[in-house]
Amino acid sequence: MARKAQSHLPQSIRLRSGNQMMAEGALQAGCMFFAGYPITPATGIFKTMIDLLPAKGGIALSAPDEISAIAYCIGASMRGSRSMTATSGPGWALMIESIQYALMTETPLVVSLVQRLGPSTGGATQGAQGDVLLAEFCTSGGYTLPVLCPTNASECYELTILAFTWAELLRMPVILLSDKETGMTIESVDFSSLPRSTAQNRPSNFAFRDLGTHNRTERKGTYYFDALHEIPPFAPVGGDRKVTATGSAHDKQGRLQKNSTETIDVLKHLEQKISWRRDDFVSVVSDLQPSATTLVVSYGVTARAARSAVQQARNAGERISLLVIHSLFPIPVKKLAHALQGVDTVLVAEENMSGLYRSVLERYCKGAKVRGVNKIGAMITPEEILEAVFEEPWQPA
Amino acid sequence: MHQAHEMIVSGFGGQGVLSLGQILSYGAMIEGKEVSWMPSYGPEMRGGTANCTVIVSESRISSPIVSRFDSAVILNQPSLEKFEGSVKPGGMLFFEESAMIRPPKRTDIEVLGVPALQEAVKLGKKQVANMVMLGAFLQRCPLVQSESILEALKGVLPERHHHLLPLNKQALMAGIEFAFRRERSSKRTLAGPGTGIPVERHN
Repeated sequence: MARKAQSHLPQSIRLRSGNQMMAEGALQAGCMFFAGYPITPATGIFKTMIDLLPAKGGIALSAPDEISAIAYCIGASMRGSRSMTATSGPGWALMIESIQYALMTETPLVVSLVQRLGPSTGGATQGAQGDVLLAEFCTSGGYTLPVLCPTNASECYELTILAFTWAELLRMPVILLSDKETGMTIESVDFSSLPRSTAQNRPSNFAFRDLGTHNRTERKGTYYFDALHEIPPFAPVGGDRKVTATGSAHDKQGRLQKNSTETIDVLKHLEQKISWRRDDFVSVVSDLQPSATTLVVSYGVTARAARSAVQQARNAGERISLLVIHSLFPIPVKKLAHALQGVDTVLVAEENMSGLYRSVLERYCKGAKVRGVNKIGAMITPEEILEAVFEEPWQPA
Repeated sequence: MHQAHEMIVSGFGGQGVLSLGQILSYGAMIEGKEVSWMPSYGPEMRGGTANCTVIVSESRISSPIVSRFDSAVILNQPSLEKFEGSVKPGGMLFFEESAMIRPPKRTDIEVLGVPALQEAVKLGKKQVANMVMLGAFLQRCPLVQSESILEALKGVLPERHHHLLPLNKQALMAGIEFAFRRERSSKRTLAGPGTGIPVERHN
């Protein structure tokens, strides 16, 4: 049965890798500045940005190293440009000092961390999900940083836009946690189904005034807020107002201080501005089944194996729910609690040795038995998840 | 075709393993199918092992990783040892004849040795051996029309290599023809898929 080849392929369907889609998502989000240093498996983002961003009127720079790359991005963002960099584990290790500076100076920034096997330079071409906690807990003091984790090429696009929106609204760095398989696997993507929206703007003095939420007539400093959770309006460095940026403990004006009530308030504010909004900053895909007793939780590329496993388990008559988490941090506590109703066993599938994300989820799973499906050096297969579900070798139908 | 066809292409880096899979994926996409191409290779630029998992499906693909394959295209000995056992019973295994000291032993799958390198050398460029292999594969397993593959080549090959399109087409045709001739000769012995008799044993 010979079928005619269709050469009139709809323009909207293209073959894209997750890395390419992350770059395209950044362009859609209005990213105007990219600096990076090539590193497998994140190079696809770097290359695509270098190829596409200048034509959009933006700047894409090849930095001499990762420390410079993130520093360039912070500078560009302080001037008012939406900025992004991309790296993998070894480069991330170098960026950790500067990402804390971005957090402390309330600078919006998106960092794409495409995970590979560690520790150290590890396996450049080997996938892993071992940087989950290194990404989240990279700050002294353990401040909550939003971490978004896509499972396929289309989500790379969507979550990049979301990452920019969160970074801008919260005035803080947001981490896009991808992995080698998600970043480098090429898939068919239907562009007509992707969101056309751009990222939202960071709150500026004008926006605040126009919305009437603040009847401030004059600006009271770079980091001014009334309530701890308020986001200070943004003013660009080099604009018509004085802006002070410092990574050291400071008051609301940005003046170096230690141990004053105001300084401690500024530090509390860095955490409050996200934890106060934690129920709004959530992205999960819940595939829940009424009366399910087992819940599979997964993220990143492993979530795809989990989806396949859950489907096969249901076909075999098992009542089982699936929770795919995009927003790993802040932990989507309410969505998790909802998914946990009636569940006695939770399986957390992730490609690392000790169950990194499981270790932080466990405390929210009171009353259920929490087990891990873990592996390093190769992807977790649907069969391995099924074996954990049934606690016996899985015989495919 | 099944709902989904899951295959592995494996060999040394430089043999065109990843591009073979990519061209096939692109061709399937042109025909409106869902595809996933997942590469796996070592840190070496050349000479390391490389493979890619290709899934072509009529519906959305959930997991890009699978443990068992409907078909395997094998270009070197270590890959054969690694993947021969992962082909589903009744599946297909294609291998580069010149690369094997110990050929495949399975009898519950269709096995086809292809002299892809030899055919490519005849055409004057051994780099197109992967296209010979792809041709042979498509003849036995018509996942994608050869017209779509030619269309895909235009998309996958950079502009500067477009003068090589005719050569690639020749290579594809050489592979198709090889498998076609082999089919005809094997029909007389009632071998082939579904009969439980391999097309050919190489002992």
